[in-house]
Amino acid sequence: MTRYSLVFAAVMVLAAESAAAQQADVRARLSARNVDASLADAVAAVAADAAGQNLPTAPLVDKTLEGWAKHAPPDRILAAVRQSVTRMAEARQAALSAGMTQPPPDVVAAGAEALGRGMRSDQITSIVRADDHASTAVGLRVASALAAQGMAMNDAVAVVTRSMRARQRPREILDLPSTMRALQAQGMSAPDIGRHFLRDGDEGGDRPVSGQPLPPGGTGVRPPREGPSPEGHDRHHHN
Amino acid sequence: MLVTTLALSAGAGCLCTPESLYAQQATFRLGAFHTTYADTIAGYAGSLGAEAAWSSLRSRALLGGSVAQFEGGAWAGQAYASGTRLLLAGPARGIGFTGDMMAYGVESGPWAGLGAGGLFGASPVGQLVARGGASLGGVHRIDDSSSALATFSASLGIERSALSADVSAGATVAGPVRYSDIGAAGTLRRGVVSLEGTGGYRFGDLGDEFWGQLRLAVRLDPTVFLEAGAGKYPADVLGFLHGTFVQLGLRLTTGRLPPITLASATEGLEVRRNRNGVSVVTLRLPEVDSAAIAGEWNDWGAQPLTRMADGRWRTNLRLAPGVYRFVVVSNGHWFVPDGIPHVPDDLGGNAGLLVVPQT
Repeated sequence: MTRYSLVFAAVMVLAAESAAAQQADVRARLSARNVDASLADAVAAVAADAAGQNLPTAPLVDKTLEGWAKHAPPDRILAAVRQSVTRMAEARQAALSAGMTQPPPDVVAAGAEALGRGMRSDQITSIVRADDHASTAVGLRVASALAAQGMAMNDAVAVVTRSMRARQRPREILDLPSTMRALQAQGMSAPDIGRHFLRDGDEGGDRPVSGQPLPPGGTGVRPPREGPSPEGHDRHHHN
Repeated sequence: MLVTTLALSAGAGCLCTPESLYAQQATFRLGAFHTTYADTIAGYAGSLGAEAAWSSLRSRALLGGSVAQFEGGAWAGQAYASGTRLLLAGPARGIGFTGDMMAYGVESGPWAGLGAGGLFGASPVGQLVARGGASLGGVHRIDDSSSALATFSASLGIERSALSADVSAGATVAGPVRYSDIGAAGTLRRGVVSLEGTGGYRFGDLGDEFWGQLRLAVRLDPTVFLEAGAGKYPADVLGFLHGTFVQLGLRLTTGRLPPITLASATEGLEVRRNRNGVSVVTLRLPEVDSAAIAGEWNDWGAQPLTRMADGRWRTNLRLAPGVYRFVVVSNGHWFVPDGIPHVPDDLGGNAGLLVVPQT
């Protein structure tokens, strides 16, 4: 047996042990929540297969616990878990094709959820490529949230990628669904809100998007003074 | 956050104060810094300034200033600052504190400035948003007199994708000077054109007069804007006289996206994250007699909610900022309350989305 064969065999043994450990861990977590033993065994087997594909197993446990808590039939829970694996594999591939060498578990899980909400693989790739603030998972989930609030998925992805390219921080991206809710509360339609977000980028100015209560006119004592003087220059264009 | 727009603008116009003044000017803006050269019939002048803006979930601040030197060698300066802090906020609803100041001065000459701060409130009224506020402060006029300053203002506005408009009324008391304003402002956006108009009637101790301004911006290219403006402004509390102006210019910009800020609540669900990392989650569930919340943060175990007034239920959760799936449990029934964004759960039902902001 060559040295390379020995190394390969060792790697295979370690991988098998890791998958077995994952399987035991998944089964233990499900048993702790009184999940039916046969369902726990089936999910543990699916999880071991997922771990072998470098996919996270925590979302599978979560989906099982969600279904069990909601009293969903075991076969339906198992189908949902298998669907999650398929989506995570597709999301991981999309992240890899965007240049992410080791897609983190939260990105893979968020990508899978986004696929389930109607996002396409190439849109996941766009969001991964747009991010340079380690907010990919947030961006994926926020795009899904915007779509859930009625925005077209194309617009939701465009809004999120534009925010990322503008180097907005995760917390600012997390604000987008609430901003959309505020604008909806004022009677604006979801398509209009998408255009509203995107248009503000096109205007190239420094004008903030409304949706936050603002005071009425500062001190209210001085309407804008205009004119081509050094003192009066374009402050009011950049308020 | 520093202003990161790179813009170059140039304009020519006529500033018609008691004595007409014609000028051409060019402004170059790089990040937070800007410089302007103006050539007028009264001589040339140049200025150098900086502006910084910062915004967060509930706060905004702007700080800026510039110095200018005129052909004769004299220096002038201006400074301005404003800030807003929301104390309580919901969708288009809030109570907050606002303050602002501005000052202008000329070397060995007069100076004028004012500073004021106060409270404001905003609330939806049907499809409109009503706002009102009061501020207290002080003013130093160009004639070297000073006095306390009190302002009261209210407005009613509407925001749509293609149109925003409001009407407003205000009153100002600055020592012996008292005057009032009624006004209206609107912005119409259609395609590449944006048209802003503002105007009103000022009456009282500064004189009774109408004023109005119209500003047009046409996007010729994603980075090139044609800007034109004309109008009349009234005499003000600082002692500056009324005047009229027209101007025309080009603005070149890199087209960076501005920061987007918001209110963090919906009608049925409100989430406030404290500085210590605890999120206070309030749900409006007027028709239930018991309620719990379950989500992906606690392995979908039902956590009881505490009943508040007016059909609201509340709990504290220690969650990192993010988007979480959840449901409400009441009498064994699992559901997502009406009006809350939700997604299919792949199990035949739905899961609501709980967005936890930073703070």
